Amino acid sequence: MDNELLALAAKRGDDAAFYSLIMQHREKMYRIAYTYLKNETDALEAVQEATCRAYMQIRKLKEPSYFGSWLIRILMNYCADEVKRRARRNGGRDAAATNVESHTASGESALLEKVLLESAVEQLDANYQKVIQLKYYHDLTITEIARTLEKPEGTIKTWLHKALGGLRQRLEKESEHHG
Amino acid sequence: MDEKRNYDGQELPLLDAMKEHIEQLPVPPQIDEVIRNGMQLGRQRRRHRVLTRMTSCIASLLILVLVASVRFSPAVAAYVGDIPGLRSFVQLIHFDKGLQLALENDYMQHVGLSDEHDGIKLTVDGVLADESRIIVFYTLDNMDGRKRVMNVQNVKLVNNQHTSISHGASDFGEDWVSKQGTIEFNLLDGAGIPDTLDLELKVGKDYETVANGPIWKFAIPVDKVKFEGLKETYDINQTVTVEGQRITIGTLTVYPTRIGLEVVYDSANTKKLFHFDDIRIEDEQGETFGTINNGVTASNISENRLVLYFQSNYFRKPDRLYLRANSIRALDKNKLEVQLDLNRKELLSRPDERLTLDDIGISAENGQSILVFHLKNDDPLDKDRQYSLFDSKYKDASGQSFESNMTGSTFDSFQYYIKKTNYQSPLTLTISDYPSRIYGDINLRIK
Repeated sequence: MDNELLALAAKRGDDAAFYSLIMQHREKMYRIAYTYLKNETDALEAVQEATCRAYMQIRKLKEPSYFGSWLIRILMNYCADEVKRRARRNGGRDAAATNVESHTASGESALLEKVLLESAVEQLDANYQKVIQLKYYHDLTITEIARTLEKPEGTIKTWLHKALGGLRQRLEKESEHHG
Repeated sequence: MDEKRNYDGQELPLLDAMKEHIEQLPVPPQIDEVIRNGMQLGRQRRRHRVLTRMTSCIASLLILVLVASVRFSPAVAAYVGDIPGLRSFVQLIHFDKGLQLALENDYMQHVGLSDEHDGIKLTVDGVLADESRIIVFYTLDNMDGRKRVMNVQNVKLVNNQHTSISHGASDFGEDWVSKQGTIEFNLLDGAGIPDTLDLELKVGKDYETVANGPIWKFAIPVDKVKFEGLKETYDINQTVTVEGQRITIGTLTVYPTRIGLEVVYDSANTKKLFHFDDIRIEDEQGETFGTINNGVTASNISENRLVLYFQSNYFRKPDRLYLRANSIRALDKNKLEVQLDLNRKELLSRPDERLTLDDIGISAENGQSILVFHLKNDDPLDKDRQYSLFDSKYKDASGQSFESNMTGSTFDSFQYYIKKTNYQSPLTLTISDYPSRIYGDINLRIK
């Protein structure tokens, strides 16, 4: 069945349709959640919570063909709140930034570069972070990002441009430090 | 062009490396389970979407949970607020004036027993008990702040099996510290109240997760002297007629926590009577006490005989009592059956054109089929009402009987789950409630 029909069926209360839609997006959901939360347990929890919220709100989905964007938006909202809550709990310290996951196969220097990039991305404004992550980490198109963030494509292009500029600046500064 | 190349990220090879890294991130196998859990949770949490699970073990009890709209009166809140330890229970019983009065009149028996496992402490704070039911008030404390959704599960009264138990599932915020709730025990025919309630229960997200978990145990003393001889009985035994349908009002029994009214429908009635919309008990001051709308609302004794429960005005000590009602949901007995053609996905017979079949879907969770009905209903009397349209029993064209174990309703849509098997179409479902009514003025002096 085509995804739009599946989304329509899900809206009408067809659990099987909803399940199969979610299953199509499960890997993307997990990876996006992981990008925010940096560990497996919290990322899985985020997927569960986003599924739950999507299930509760499916009847409010206005445009069935945008199910994916809508779902990712729910997930990102949850993750953003979760990150904020953690920061509050840690008294403002950003625990996530220092938390390097262990199961990466890359060598020392690749790891260092990755940490540098992550921290540079995390220093960007929230909207810039989102476009960078969606575009480069998760391979969404400009149109898809525009739908997910509910902004015009022009805005997304501007943000992306500025985010890349900011990122480049920060990375240059960083590499000077680490020479 | 510079602009374009920026979007490609070519100037930042690191970004490409990052993408690759993320694409290689292993997705744990639990992801499927997590998604099923998420759907299950979503189902539980839908606030205005009441899910009624039909249980065959307590077939004699009709359990309806409706969204309560009655507000707690400021005067009572102020009064109860003065009694230490009781303030927090005000919210739990704001839908039942009788229970509020019981609290106000110091009828609660204080208990204060706790048991703790896995960082979750459950304290039984008190009980409200009389000869008809026992309500246990408890507090859950999240001792280490780790756990998320925690509900009471698997409640058992070890020393009294002839008891039906009901307790709700509640909404948890993600960071909860303390949570209160009630467990209600309904005493079935002749089951005496023991001096001690040996209560066992589990606490966890759902039925499956607690399967191998610890058991919280309590031995709750019940002071029976407190309610001995408080029951008041009035034999009314009058028959009233509403639009030709005969209803006999039998005995009214007033207990401190609720009032039971025996109602008998004449088997010769042409209509099946489902529910009273507004039946109520009034005193000489004009103060009304309605039916119980959160918890056990009635006990069905036989097809045409039931005991209907009201919020109790016991503590008001009224001089006079009247029983009043104006409308009843009812349907012609020959329109009760809904026939449904499974292949053509259409209804062959139905009460009226307001009921339609939207779709036949399949449940992701257990592979059951879901019959999705649509009910068009603009009656203002039904503004906040969720209909439980059908009886759990249904049959196919061969006459074989089946039982649905789940239904759900959402605004104007109603889902009926049927197990996966080879049915002979059409299926026959039986209407158990419907927005068609008979009107009249029932007004009886009781006392």
